[in-house]
Amino acid sequence: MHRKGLDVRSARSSRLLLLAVAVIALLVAPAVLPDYPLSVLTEIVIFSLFVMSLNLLVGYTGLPSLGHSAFFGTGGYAVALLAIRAHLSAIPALIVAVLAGIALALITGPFVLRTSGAYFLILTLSLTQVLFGIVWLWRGMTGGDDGLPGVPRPQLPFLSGVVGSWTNFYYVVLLVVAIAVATLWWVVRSSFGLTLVGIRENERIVEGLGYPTWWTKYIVYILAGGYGALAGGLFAYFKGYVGPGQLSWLTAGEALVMVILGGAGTFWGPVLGATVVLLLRYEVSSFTQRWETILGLVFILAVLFLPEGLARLPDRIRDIRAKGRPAAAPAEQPAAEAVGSTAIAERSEQ
Amino acid sequence: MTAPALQLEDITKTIGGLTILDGIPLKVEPGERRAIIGPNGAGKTTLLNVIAGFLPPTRGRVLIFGHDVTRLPAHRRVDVGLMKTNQQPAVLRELTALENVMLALLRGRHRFFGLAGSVDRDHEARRQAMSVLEEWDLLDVAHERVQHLSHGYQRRLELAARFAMRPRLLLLDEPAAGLAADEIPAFLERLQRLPRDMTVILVEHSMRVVFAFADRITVLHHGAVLTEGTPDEVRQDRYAQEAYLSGGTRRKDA
Amino acid sequence: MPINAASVVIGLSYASLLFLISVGLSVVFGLMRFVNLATGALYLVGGYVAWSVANRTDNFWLALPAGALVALVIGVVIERGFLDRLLGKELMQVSLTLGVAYIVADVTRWIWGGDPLRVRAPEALRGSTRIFGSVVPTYRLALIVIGAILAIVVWYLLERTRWGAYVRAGVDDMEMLECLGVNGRRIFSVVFALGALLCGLGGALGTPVTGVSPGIDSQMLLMALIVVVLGGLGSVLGAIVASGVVGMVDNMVRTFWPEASFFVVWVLVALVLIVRPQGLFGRAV
Repeated sequence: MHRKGLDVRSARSSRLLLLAVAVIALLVAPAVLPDYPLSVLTEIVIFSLFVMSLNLLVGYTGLPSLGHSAFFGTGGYAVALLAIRAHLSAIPALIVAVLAGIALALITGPFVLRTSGAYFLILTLSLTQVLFGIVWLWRGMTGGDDGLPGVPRPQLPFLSGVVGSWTNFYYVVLLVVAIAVATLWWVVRSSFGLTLVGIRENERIVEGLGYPTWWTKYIVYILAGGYGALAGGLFAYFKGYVGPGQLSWLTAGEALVMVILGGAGTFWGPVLGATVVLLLRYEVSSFTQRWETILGLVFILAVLFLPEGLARLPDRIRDIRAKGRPAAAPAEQPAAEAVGSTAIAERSEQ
Repeated sequence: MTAPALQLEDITKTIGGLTILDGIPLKVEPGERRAIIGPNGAGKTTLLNVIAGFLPPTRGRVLIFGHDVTRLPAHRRVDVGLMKTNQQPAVLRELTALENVMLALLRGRHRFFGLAGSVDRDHEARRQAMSVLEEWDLLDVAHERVQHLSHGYQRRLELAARFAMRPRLLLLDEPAAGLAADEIPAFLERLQRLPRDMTVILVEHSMRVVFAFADRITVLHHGAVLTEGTPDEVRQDRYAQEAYLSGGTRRKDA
Repeated sequence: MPINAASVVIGLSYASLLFLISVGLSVVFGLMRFVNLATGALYLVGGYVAWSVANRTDNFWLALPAGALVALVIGVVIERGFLDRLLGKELMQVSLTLGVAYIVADVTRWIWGGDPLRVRAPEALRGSTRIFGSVVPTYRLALIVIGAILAIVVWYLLERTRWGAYVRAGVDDMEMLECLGVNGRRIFSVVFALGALLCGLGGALGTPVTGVSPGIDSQMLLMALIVVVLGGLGSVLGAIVASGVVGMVDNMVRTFWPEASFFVVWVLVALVLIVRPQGLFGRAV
């Protein structure tokens, strides 16, 4: 027991160290990065939040959505309309964007949550397609397929003049995403978060423990919608433009692959997934036209060799190492004593 | 007069034209240990699922401690003190043993569907969970993922998690199934140690467990109650012998 | 413009193509809950290969099986290579089949370029025919006939043969089928391969009408998903009926309200799913 406690603590402190290094790196990045790589980094940060919000559904609760771009796009259009038509500043605009995402989830939740598994996948896809159609048709409001250009990029007032506009905007994004990620951390770590994982594992057991699982799923769907819309709002600012592409199911599909690639159900996996895919897109496209093929290959290789995702790679390596030893026995063990000895074996390995 | 722990009135369940349960009456007094036996397909598991709220009955009423719960969803029946175990241990395989117990203990503890409280910081609940694990000899696997545990451990964990919620009425669906023969005595002893004020309804194929544990036995056959009585009465009942006890041996031979 | 024979013919010929790409998707889904997002890619490949063969040989009737066969090969590679790892894992299925779709889209653009290509209909089917007072393209009529024949063949295979009975039993309850001693996995392999073949054939047959170009893969995939969801997952009859409905509705909307063509079918799907989540002919979810 004692040793295990120590290991947990040292693992936690090394993870904290890693987090601190990442935060510092993100903070000083503008000092070393020119505008273009900085804009790629900004996009990665925004997509990380978007993919994390999807992960709440897909990874934690086990609801495979192929329509999360509906919220991403809703947030984008809310921000663009408010900024262009009503000249609203960023904070109220982003709040309205979140509320719009929440409203959309409130309305559509009862319908999509009648299903699960592959049915859920297709139902969420049709939801985003209907929205896509509305945007396409309602040209007067949304600009149709031309979208809405001219969304002004928000700036932190105390930094304007001190740093360039890209750097300033990067800090805006970093600030908003940091706050959102902190609240997401709370959600995942709350007893609500544990309930979500329980539902992914076996909804009926959780219900048998007295949890209102339908409401839990509804609430997480609403939360995911809110966070997704927030990311979408930031993305509209980032592009200075919003178009139907932001709503497209291809955006949702890509986000879903980022979740899988990074590690569904892990907190930081989505960040890894978003980083890898976006870097591939921008870096590979600079030296070959065939980046789409390479991206496709990455998707396939991920399924073959990393079905658990990049974030679980360290665990996987440890498993493979452990497999080499006879002491580490596999899952099904008939005798009770054997389980005890496995536990001891694992403990002594660390 | 206190209300019975469980009262069923005319419980009927038909699925696709097939009558699984046919007008079942049942009355279980508080503190009683009741076993429900019957050949495969008699409707025992279906009956437990109707009581627990996982299947709506086609007709009839379910009363638990005098509350009519017929229309209540499964998760609300936990409020009147009902808990159920499954044939496959109802444990969450990707969580650790500790987390399984924690999930049971955290129900209703934090507001806003649990959004208001952190799992890691609830030291009180954690302490309780650890003591539950200790009580059930599970302390050494507290941080193991359940999927790495043997069937016997999973069964104990399932009971421990349900027990942590202090149910007043516990439904056990074939708890001894899947246990090795040498594990059964210890398991039976554990069941017998359950507090006497807890009402227990047990569905079980192992006659050893049933006759050692139950105060009264109900024999189900083709979705209807064939007979009911004390273990001795049932043992002597000719119908019960024909319908089940012999059928049970046949099943084992097959 | 009133609804006349011409618009019915155009709608139904489109329905034929929809049936070809969606029936495999539907049955495969019904059997193993497998979501194949590479369906559109198979259609695309079928179309491109058919174009190349038709160009080289100047023989449309050679182009058809060529397109279908190449799609079949890709389907078999997916099925043999990956399927066992993916059963019951929707996320992995999405990732893998989307990956295949990306690669196919990119490689085909590499080989055939980005411009729309069109195969000319075979000599005998060019020109137009008068039917019920309207002039309609002959090839469209032929498409309807081919689609109808294939629908009947598929329907007969699944509803009237022993093999089809196994497939249907598997759609209902795979475990039960295996209890009967039937190898469900092998049945699934055959269904998957046949589905891919029909997809490729659809692509080849479609090129004289829709042409083939980048983007048509995701367009056709979405249409196939609509048909499958509308008809009910795993139901052949559902795929037939839903293809007809979607083909006709889509064509009508294109005529009367062109900008909304894509939108209306999705609204249709959303409405049906809200009322009946299992689709028109599907079993309860």
